[in-house]
This record gives sequence, C-alpha cells and structure tokens, in this order.
Amino acid sequence: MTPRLPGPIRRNGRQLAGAVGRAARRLPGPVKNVGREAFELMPDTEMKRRLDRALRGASAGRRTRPGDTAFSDAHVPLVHRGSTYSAGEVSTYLQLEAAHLRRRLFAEQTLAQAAEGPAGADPEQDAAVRELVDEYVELAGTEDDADGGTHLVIVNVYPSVGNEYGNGFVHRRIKYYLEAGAQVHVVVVGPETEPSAYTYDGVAVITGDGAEARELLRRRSYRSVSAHFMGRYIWDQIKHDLTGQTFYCFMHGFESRRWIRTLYNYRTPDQVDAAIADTVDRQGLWREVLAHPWGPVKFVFVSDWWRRASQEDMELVYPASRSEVVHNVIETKLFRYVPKPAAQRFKLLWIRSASNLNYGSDIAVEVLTRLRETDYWDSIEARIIGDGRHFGAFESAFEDDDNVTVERRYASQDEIALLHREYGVFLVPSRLDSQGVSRDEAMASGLVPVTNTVSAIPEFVDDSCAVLAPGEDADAMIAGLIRLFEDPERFLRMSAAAAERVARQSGPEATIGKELRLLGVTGRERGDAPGTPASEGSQS
Amino acid sequence: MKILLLTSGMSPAEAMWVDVLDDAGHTVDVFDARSAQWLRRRAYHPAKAVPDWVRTWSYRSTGNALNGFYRLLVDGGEYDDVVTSGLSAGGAMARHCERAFTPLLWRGDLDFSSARPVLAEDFAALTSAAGRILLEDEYEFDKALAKGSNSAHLLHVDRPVGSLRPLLDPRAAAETGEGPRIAVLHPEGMPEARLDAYRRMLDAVAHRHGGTAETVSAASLYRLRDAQRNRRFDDIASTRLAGYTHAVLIGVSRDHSSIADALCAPQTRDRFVVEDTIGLGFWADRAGFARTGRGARLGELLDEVLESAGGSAAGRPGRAIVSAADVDPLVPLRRAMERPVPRLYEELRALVADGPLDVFFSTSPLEDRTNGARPQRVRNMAEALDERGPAVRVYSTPRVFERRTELIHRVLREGRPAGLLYAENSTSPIPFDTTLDGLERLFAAFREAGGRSAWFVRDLHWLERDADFLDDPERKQEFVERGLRELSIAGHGTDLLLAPCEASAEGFKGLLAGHDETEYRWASMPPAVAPANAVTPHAGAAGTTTLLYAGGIGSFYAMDSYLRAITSLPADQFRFDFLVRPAEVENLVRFLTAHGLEEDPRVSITTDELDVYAPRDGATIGTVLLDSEYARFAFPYKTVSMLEKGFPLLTYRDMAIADFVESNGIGAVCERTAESVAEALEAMSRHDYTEAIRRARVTESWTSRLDRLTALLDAAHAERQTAARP
Repeated sequence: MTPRLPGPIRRNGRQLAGAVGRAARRLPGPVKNVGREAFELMPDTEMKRRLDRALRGASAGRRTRPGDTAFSDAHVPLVHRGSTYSAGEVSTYLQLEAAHLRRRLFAEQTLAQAAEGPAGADPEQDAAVRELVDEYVELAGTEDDADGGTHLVIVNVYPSVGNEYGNGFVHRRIKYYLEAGAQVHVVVVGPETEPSAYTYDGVAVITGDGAEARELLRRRSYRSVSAHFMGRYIWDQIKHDLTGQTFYCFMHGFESRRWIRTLYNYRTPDQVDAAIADTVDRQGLWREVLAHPWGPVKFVFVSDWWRRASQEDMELVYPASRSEVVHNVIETKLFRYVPKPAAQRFKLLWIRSASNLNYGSDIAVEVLTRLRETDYWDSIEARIIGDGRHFGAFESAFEDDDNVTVERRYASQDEIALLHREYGVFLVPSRLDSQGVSRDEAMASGLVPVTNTVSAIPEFVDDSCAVLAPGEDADAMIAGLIRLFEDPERFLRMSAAAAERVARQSGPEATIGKELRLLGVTGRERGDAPGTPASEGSQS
Repeated sequence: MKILLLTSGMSPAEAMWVDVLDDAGHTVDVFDARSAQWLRRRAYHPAKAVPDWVRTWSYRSTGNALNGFYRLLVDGGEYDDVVTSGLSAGGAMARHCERAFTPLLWRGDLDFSSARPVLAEDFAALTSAAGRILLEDEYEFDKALAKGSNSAHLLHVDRPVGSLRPLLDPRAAAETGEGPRIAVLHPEGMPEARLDAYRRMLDAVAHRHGGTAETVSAASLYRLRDAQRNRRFDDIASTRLAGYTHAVLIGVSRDHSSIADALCAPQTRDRFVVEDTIGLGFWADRAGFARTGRGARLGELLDEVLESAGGSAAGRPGRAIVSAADVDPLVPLRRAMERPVPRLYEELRALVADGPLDVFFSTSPLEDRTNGARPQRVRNMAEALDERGPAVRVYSTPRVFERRTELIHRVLREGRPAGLLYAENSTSPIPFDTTLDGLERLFAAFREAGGRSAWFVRDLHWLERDADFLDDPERKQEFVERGLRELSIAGHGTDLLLAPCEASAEGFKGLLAGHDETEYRWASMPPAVAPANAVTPHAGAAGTTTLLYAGGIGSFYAMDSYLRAITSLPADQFRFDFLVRPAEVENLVRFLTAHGLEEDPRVSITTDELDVYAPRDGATIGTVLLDSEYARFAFPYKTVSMLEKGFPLLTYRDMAIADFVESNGIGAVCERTAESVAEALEAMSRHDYTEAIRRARVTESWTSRLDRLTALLDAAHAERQTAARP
C-alpha cells in the first residue's frame, strides 16, 4: 500500500501533477515520446497514476462509466450489421423488420388479452377484503354522497411511519387535494403488498395485492381515479373494474421508458436483454391501456418533453385530447426564495441519488475535480449529500479536500430547504430528467443550477437562470461556473430569475391548481347536454 | 385559414368539402392517407416528398418514422385545422399524430365485418384518439357503438352549397328535344341484378313520359384522378351528369348526402327523388325534403315529378357569388368540435326532445333493407315510434346496450318522465347475460319512472316439441332455458306481451304450458303498412288480371294446389307472375313443367325483390297460401307487403291472416282446394278493392298499431292500479 502523505502536501502534489500534464501535452511529438519513456520507468505510485491521467488529458476524477457498462461507451455501429449493405439499407431493414415483428407480437398479445377474463372469485378472500375495505372507509371518514364526490388514488408505494420516502410527491399532491376540501381514498397495490389500512400524516391509506382496489372501484363511482407509477401489475388488477370511472394516468418517467435511454446503467449483457424485454412488454401494455374502453381519459405527463419521449419510446401516439402536461409541484412555501449574498456563488451544493448514472454524479465528480485545478478552488466550498452505488466516487475523489464535504445519507425536505439557505449554486448535472424536481426546488430557493441541456431540462431552465452545458460536457459547466464566479452581479441576477421561473412554471398554482381542475377537485364550469354524466373528463 | 384535409380516397363526399372550403376563402391542402399521396398542396410544404416507406404496411402499428412523417405533414403545413374524412384517414391521424383533428365519418364507413381487421384497427385507433366523432345520422351512431366506440357522437354540420354549380342542367337537356333523362344514382358495387331491377322499374316510369332512366354510380361523379388534376367537384359532377334532367338517389353510400345536398340547390330541388333508406331518410328529415319513398313508391314519386314537369328550365345557372363570411363551413365545424360535451355524449334527437322518453329495443339492430320480414318489421316499428317523438334505440349487442341503457337510466334519474318502451325479440334468445340482466333493470327503472312497456314475441319455435334447431341436446336445453329466462324477464318486466296475431298468442300460450305457468297478458300486434312503401292503389282497367306469386317454392307453399288452380282459369283473362329467389328458379320450372306451364306465354318469372316489382297493366292479385301448421298461427309479412303494393290478396280460410283479409275487405279467403282457389281468383278479378285497400292502409298502419298499443297499455295500467287498491 502506498504510504499516505498529509493532506496539504497531497493537494499540492495533485496540482503539480495537473500542471505537469498540461505542460507535457503542449510539448512537440519527439519530446513527448522521450518523456513517455521516462515516465514508464517511474515506480507505480498514486502520483504516477495521476500524472498518467493528466498526460492523457483526463482528470483524476475522470468518469469510469464507459468501462462499467455492458456496451462500453460506443453504440453498435451500423456497419456491424453487414458489410454488404449500405447504411440506408441497414437502417431501413432494422426499422421495418422490428416494426413487423412488433406488429405480430402485439397482435398475439391482443388475442391473449381478449381471451383473458377477470380472475375467479375466492369467497373467503373476498370476505376479508370487504371487511378491510369497510374498515378503511370508516378510517377515511368519507361520505358516499359528499358534494364533489371522492377521488381515488392508486399507487405502487406510499409513505408510512418508518418508511417515509416512498413516493413523497404523491403524498404532497394528496395533501393538496385534502386542503382543497376533497375526499380522497388512497390504495397501494403491489404483488407482495400485505393487506392493511393505516393513516399517514392525515391521509388514510389501504394496501394490498389489488383486491382492495377492485372492491373500492366496484363500490362507488369516483369523481376521479388516478394511478401513479402504473405498470402491468396494477393495470391487470384494476382494468376490469374501471367501467364507468373517469380514469387518469400520471406518467412520471420509468413507466414507459425505452431501455436505450439508460444504456449507461447496464453492467452486463443480461441486464440489457432484460431491459429490452421489459421495454417491449411496456410497449404492449400502453397499447392496451390506450385502447381500453375505460382507459385513461388523460395521460398526465410531468413535462412536454416526456410526453414526446414516451411516445417515441412506446412507439405510439398519445392523442392531444387525451394527454396533459402537469409539472410536479414545487413547494415554494418550503423552498422559499431569499435573496442570496454574492459570496454564495462559490458555495456549491449537490444533493441527489447516485444509485444510477441518470443524475450524472460522475459528471459532478469530474466538474469538481477539474475545478480543483483552477485558481478558484480555494474559494470554493462544496457539499455533497446522497447515497447509491456511484456515490463512492465522491468519497474517493474528495476525501482529502477540506473544502468539499461528502456525506453519504438522505436528507429530508426540511433539511434540504435549510441547506438551500446556505448555498448559492446547485450542481445538478444530468443525463435524464423528465422534470428535475430537486433542481427546481433549489432554484425556488434561489440557487443557480449548473446542468445539462438534455431530456426535459431545457423546458424548465434557460441561460438567464441556469448555467447550461451540452450533455456530458464538463468543460462547458466549468466555463459557466467560472463566469458566475467572476461576475457576482450575474450570479445575483440568475439567482432571482431561477426563483421566479420556478414560481411561475412549477409553483402550486401552475401545477396543483391545474391538476385539481383536471380531476374536478374544484368546481368547474360545465356545459352539459341532457343525459350527461356527473363527472367525466373533457373530450374536446 | 389553412386547412389540411386528410382523406381515405377521394369521392364526392370529400370533394364537396374542398369546394365549399375553397369558396369560403380557405387554403385547403389534401393528403390521401390511404394511398399516401398529396392530392393538393402548397409548393413549399416541407413534407412535399412522400417517401415510399410511408406506404409500408409494417409501420401501421409501430413506427416512429411514420409518426415523424405525419408530424412533419401536419406541423410543417402550419395548419389551423386538420380534418379527416373516412376511416383510413381518421385511423392514420389517430395512430401517427397527437394533434387534435376533426374526424368525419360517412355513411357506410362503418359497414365492415370483423373479418376486416385493418378497418377494425382504424376504428379502434380513431375512437381511442378522438374524443368525438362526427357521423351522418343516428343509424351510424348505432354502428359506431357496435364497433366499440368510446367517443362522443355528434352529427355532421350543414355545408353551405350556395356557391356550387347546380349538378343538373335541364335547359341544356331540353334543347335536345328529347324526353326526360333520369340519372339513377346508386352506390358503387350495388348488386347488378338489384340495380337493374331499379333501373327497369324507373325506366318504365320515365318511358311513360317519353324518357329513359340510366344508372350512374354516385362515386363516379368525382374520382381520385379528378383531385389529382385539381378539378372542382361541381364542375366534374355537372359535366358527368350533363344531359340528365332528373335524378333518383337509390341505396346509400358515403357520397349520397353530399350529392343530395348539392341537388337541393333551388334550381334542381324539385328534380330529384330519394329512396327512403334509413340514412337518406334521416338526411331528408334534416333537409326538410319530402320526396322519399321505397321500392315501387319511388317510381310513383318520380312519376309525380315528371308529371309536374319538375323544375323550370331556367337557364344554365352559373356558380353563385356567396359571401364567405356568411357561409364559412368551418364555423359550425369548429363549433361542433369545441362545444363542451361529456365523454360518451350522443347527439340523439330523443335527448333534445321534450316530453316523456320513448325507448325502442330490438334484439337485432336496424337494417337498411326493404326485404325480409324481421328487418322490415323492426325498422318500420322503430320509425313509427319516432313519429310520436324520437325514441332512444337500444340493441342487445353488449356494447350498444350498455352505453344506451346507461344513457336512459341517467335521463330518467335526471327526472325526465318515461314514455313508451317498445321491445322486439328475435327468433333466437338473447345470448348475452349482461344484456338480460340489464333489461331487467331497464324495465324496472322505466316502470318506476311512470313508463309503459310492451315486448313483442316473434316466435317460440324453440319450444315446439319437434323443433330441430340444434343437434346437441345439452345445447338445446341451454337454448331453451335462455329463451324462457328472456321471456320471463319480459313477461314480468313489461306491461304486455305482444304476438303477431291473436292465433299466434294462443299458440305461444300453448307452447309455454308446462314451461312457464305465469299468466302473462297478451295482445296482438300484426305487421302493418309503412307509408314509405305504399303505392297508390289503382283499379285495374277491364282486361287481363295478373296473379302474383312471391315467395318460396315447395310443398310448404302449396305450389301444387296453386298451379292446379291457375291452369283451370280462363286462358285469356289471367297472367301469372312469379317472384322467386334465383336459387329457386330451377325448382319453380320443375313445378311449372309438372303442370304444363313451362312454355306458357302467360307465365313470367323474375328474381326481383317484391319491393321493386313493377306490375303489368291491369289488376294484380297477390296470393299468400301456406300449406303448413305454422300458417295457422303465423302472420306472413308478405300480407302487408301486398297491401303496400296495392294488391288484393287471396289466402286460405284457416290461415291466421284470413280474418285480417276479410275484415278489411282487402281480398278473399278460400278452402285448401285447387277448385276453391280458382273460384276465388276468378271472383276477385271482377272486384274492385281500391277503396278497401286505401282504408286499410290507414287502419292497418304502424301509427295506428302504436295508437292501439298505447290504448291497451293505458288500460292495463289502469287495471293494475285498480287491482292494487286496497
């Protein structure tokens, strides 16, 4: 094991290695070769490894993603599909053959679905379910004939005491529904979910494997039924009992995503195979949901980009009359804008999950690592909070940096709001965000986000309120940060603009207000003709 | 406005839309989704080149590439509105583009069987994407429901046609000095024999006025190639109809209402007649057009038009100058699409009408036919009910049943009083449990809301001891049980059970003995006369009488007895017409040969349907002679068909219809012997039945049947109330 030097010395060494590397890359070719030979003779130390990376033009914290993934970082070249085809021929036959196979597959699935009926009854289980639902309805205290009806929310996971992190933003929505005076039932459906009924933070919840949801659906005509994170399991549980209900499906992201969007997360070919199979299954599922006579009156997407992306991923079209965009709500009361002192432009915060590479924790590591090579490093104070498979990269890269605090843990919403007060820049690189709730929360508090113009992100930020870089481009992020460091006025301007943008676009009125109107939680004007139902989605 | 019209081929229906939109000052691009080609577009459209792969079949259900192309097609043109016409276009737009559009479907677009999966897919995609679909009439609404529609159903909007050149040019025709020339506009693909029967019937009428009748396909008035050459509909259609002075629209097609709209222009409005098909009947109601009839009645209407020299030949009219602002067809179209309606709304006349809600239930849906006893009965009764005020129509198919009964329950819950619920069963029991359960609820709700109801029983053949309708005893038993359940629900749920005649009612009671001992209240409800079919009866001038035999051939139909009888009639006073199905001609010839009539010049055989049968000069006598036990308690529909045609009829004394014939004085009865038949026919040929037939047309009309039914139901209701009093 290499002996460990004191921190300041190691830091100076890293800076020296960086400077040597930069200088060496500028040398003429023959000189470089001599240097390379000399370098090869050096003992194998951490210093040598750092120098090696510097000479190759990579920083010490260079992302290791490519080597970890099943496909390295290269997509399959078209030429590998056959040397006797032109690129156009390859592209055409790949697409058409895939389309043909899918068409056959979906036709088979449709036939199978048509042959399938509702599950047979088990009188004993049915009685237990009815008893639990009776108990739940009493717990919820909902009245059958309440004005405005009752709204049912179906979800795969819901917070409970001791497990507060499950789909917190669904819980926040429901709190808003209740605040607006609505009666709400919440049912958790999962294959392994034990039957229970409980109250969490004022919300009555019933859980089970699906029988409870069916019983609720059979008992009353809800004003609205909405599902979050619906997959094949939930759909199969409820689809035969949606008749007469007004159903909404909230599309958050993963429910209808194609495997290729997260290629970087797969580490083995088996995982890729499974992901492809999953995608094709989902393509079949959403076709079925779309065509179902009592399928969603609206598919609700968190962003317009996600609506378009989901269409492309599932190879179908969500008609305009049946789709709506409602962003996730940002709690602007909690994440309140307080004007920032200019000095906070050097205070960088990263709080996210590093369980996969979607949120670009590796890019954040690279940005910070390369900032270390700049003159601003000593002015910078960074705090990293999170967890997950890739979080270790932060720990190893910055264990010696006193100005970088790395904490492997989750932070509550309240704590994050307090942290926002202390920091001015939110480092939030990304490869895939259907909205980017943590970024919006930080912006609401006045932090200037540093992020990539990928996926839905441009729908929520622009360069008046964010430091923007193309995908994977750490250089551009660093350049943007430096402009911020050098221009305190710019920082203050962007900080205020960030808060204003979120309040306008993703604050409660623009999001929950719209959602409440959509679901009919608040009164709305109706121009019903005679013989019209009391509550049904708009179809104009 | 910039408008994209996405079509499923190109025919008068679409072409007329293009004309009226053009005339209103809009810019209209037309893309044919079926053949994936532009028919009209601006030069600079970014999707002007249509790649071959757009036509690739595999991309139909999955293919971002095709979605991308359609997006470019729609977004690239920066259109203010997208209108789709027909099923293929609606399906394509729904599948490949998320943008909202106005979907127009035409009559016949939904006339496809489940063996056409591509069209079924198109409709499934369309109804999944389109919150509302614009259809031509309520009959098309019914079809949409049967196909599983999840959309609201709205009616097409009126198109202003004032700017169009009139399609007929009587003055130019008159200049030739020839007689009237009739264009018999028919659906493309109409069976040739049927079309020829119409032509002959109408030509006979035209001939009386020195003219001719010729067939013209409605679709031929504008073809895809005309659109490719950027021609106007009115120019092409009027050119193709050059020389015709009058028109008769027969059958129904996606183009019929467009052509009828165009013909309704003031210059030609009194120069055409329309067959009273279900769809065109609806069109006529909306257009306030009265010259509609079916079968031979159509010929009579044409005769009236020609008699009145219909339409002044006032100069060749050019295209009228019309202010776009006054008649922009886009305005009502947009209004229809933007008007707030609930998800499963249907623009049914019954919903906007005042007064108690009437309901018409039939096990099988309405059919646009002028032959067949069951379809005619169902249709005529439905239409008669509508004359009281529009009724909501419900059929046993679960998709239709659920949506329409839900609607009825909702309207009743909202407090509208229930009126009359009239229901008809079919020859087989309803096979859907959900429908049977639903009927039980519907009857209860209707009674609860103060309504009256009756259930017509067509027959109970499955209860006959020697019925041989199924080989498998288990299935047979199941069939019988299902039938009995249906009858029990109807018997208990409605106020009255109806049979085709008194004898049928007695027969049904007998069949039910031992199966269902409930004492149901029965009444008779024989078939009746539909005014749309009724031809004015004329007294036959002295001379030859034609004996008309229409129906099946065989001993069941008493052929031998009939043929023996007619051979004994005076040779110079009678002619013999036989209307039979093509498959039975050979059989008939065998019978005729056996009686020495095969070469007889008095005999004429035709395979035309009775509705388009053109009688020869002189009197015509119809015969309804059935040689079976069934005839003793059946009421053959042919009885009223003969009455509608104005023919007196002969029947056996022991047949169930004998009383009907005798009491109305519309014919004669005889014994089951050849001598008696011959004697009666001879006597009939000397008698004038005209007045009796005229009277019976009134007393035995569907309207009078309904009046009688209402009276019976009121009486039954009063009786029940009396019985319920302590």
